[in-house]
Amino acid sequence: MMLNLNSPIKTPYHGLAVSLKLILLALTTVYVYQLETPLLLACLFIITLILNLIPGKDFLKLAIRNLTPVIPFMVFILIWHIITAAWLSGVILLVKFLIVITLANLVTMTSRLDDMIAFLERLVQPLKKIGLDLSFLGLAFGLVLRSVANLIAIGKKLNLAWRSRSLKRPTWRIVFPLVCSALGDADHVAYAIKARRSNTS
Amino acid sequence: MERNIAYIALFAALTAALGFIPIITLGFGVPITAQTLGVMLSGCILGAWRGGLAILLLIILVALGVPLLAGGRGGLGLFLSPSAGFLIGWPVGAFVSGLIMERSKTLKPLLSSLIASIIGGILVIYTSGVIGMFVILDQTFIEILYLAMAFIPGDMIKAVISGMIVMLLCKYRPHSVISRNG
Repeated sequence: MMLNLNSPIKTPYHGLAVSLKLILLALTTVYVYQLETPLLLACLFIITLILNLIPGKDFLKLAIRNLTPVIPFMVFILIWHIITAAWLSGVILLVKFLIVITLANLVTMTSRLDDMIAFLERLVQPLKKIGLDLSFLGLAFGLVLRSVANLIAIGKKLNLAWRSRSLKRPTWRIVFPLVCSALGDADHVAYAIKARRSNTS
Repeated sequence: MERNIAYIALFAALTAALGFIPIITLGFGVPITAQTLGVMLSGCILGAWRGGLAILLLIILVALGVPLLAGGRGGLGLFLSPSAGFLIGWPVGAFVSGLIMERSKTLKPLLSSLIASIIGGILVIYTSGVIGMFVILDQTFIEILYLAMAFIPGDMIKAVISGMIVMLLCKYRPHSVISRNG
């Protein structure tokens, strides 16, 4: 499983600060959702495409590939608007989605996961002043990323075990042992963190 | 503290993993994944705060660009799409499921978790999703509600599965069902 959606192709946007990219994205999103002029929206869409084309054709292909998960929903919305005889507003809405989602994906593709986590940790820092210590966030992120691959592997093994004993497809019954496995792992991880903390303190 | 972090992280991971293992096959052979089952289970097993935080942790990682949603989806783009409301409703749904589990200890585990999963995992998530679509899309509330209804039968199956898993856990691993022990 791919661990993040960061682009392997280096772009000029990689050098920009994550905070700056997120602020620009937020401002653009608010602006685009307020627009109703088709011509202006079309211009913004072309600018978005150019932004994705600047790092090269391969990057643009990657950006288009990252859009595929939302395409079925967009097609559905367009068909729906055509059926309800509001095709123009359907097209306008679709272009707005394409602009903001492509720009958001651009931020995701050009920001390293470490930088994003560091930004988030800086963002929640002021909460410490009101007694909310979120210093465990980094540890929790690491635990999730390590455990997902492990749990998927266990799920696949349970799947195989089921198939070796039955001609029927594996059903929800494999979820119970998977949940038990996660609970068992959680107990072991809790002991490990406690042991490590008591060793370092 | 350590136990809380471990449980929250492991349930975030479990919910993500459920998106990559098709565990329900519909009558006509189409496999569907079960990440919303993970949302229901997190609330029902861990309770309101831990369950809600587990799903919030998953959502934050998805926003940061980790492709942990079914089909390898992730990134900020998902939070600007018309279905963003459903995603934002996940942590609230897990919280509400957990709250119902914590407040209904006198009921049998199956009934209690079934109610918690239906209210938290379906009602809350759909309310958030429908409101999100209503804000973004240029359609009436009733039309959007009608559209969202198509997915409810699948989620009802997941609520029943969630109820059965919690019932089995209460029977064989009662100490793990934190929502009923706290």
